[in-house]
Amino acid sequence: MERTRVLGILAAVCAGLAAVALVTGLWLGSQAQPVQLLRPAPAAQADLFGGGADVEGPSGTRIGSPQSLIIRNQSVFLPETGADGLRYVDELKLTELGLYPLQFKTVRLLSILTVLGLLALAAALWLGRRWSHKTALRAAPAGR
Amino acid sequence: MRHLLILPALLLASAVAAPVKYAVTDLDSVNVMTAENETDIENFTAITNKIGGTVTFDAAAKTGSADLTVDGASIKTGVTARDGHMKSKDWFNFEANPTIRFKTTAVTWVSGDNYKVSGTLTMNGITKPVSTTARVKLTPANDVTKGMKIPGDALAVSLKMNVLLSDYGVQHPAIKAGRVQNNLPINLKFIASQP
Repeated sequence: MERTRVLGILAAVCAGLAAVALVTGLWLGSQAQPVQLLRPAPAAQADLFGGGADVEGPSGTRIGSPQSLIIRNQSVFLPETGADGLRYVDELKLTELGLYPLQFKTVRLLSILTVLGLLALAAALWLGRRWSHKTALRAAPAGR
Repeated sequence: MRHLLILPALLLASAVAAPVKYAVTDLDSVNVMTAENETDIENFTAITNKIGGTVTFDAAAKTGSADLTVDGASIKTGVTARDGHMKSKDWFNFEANPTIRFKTTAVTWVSGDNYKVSGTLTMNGITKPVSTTARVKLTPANDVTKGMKIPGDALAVSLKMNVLLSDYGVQHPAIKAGRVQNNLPINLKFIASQP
């Protein structure tokens, strides 16, 4: 019966950890916001490339496309905002501070994989507990 | 008499229309190449400032050519381990072939500062034809260009192209499995000037 109890406890712990992983993933994901990395440049310098009027937001070179990122250090954000709450982040400052922002995409994938993995483990342990319990019950009359 | 007047005018026009050769400046704060890739786990942008080469541009005829190089070994992605992978044989093999080269074969003016450009892109030792759009703007030397330590007139060029990793010998299983996108949008932005 000891083995049955241990398996039951482990299954409960795994289910609990899955719940913690789910909540942590949701909490981290809620901090993500649309961000455009940008190397700021004076408007006169950016004008050398032309097309300044076509581009909204601060002047400079856009690095990649907008991403949903989790950035806690407020000092890297530029004051300008874009459509749909887009924030601009100084890419050079980010590099200077050695920050590599976590992506919502990464959090979501890792969270889903962790939750599914822990739930699968919990289910396996719970099935193991049931098997162990039945085995113990079958063995009990023979032992008496 | 009229012919005598037309001749100098034609000579002057041809002199103005002469193509000028510009060299890519070493302005690390301005020159940048980015390549964006999507993977299952995150999207990342590879960056370098190490762009070189020359651009020949005829402002009057609105045509030109370019022979550009990018130091692939200097590309950074924000993750040191991934930078190492990029240089390995599994990916771009920049350890063996560090130079990315773009050479134009035809340049057609579209409108304003916009041009349609055909050329060849060499990466990982493989050369493939590519088509791209480019914005080319010539600014005569002024206080801004002097402030940026640009030696002469500033020829600002920005171009974007889409390539497939598989076209350049990158056959990593992660691409076949769809975990890494085969498509690679490349953006190049730099200032060239008369040396």
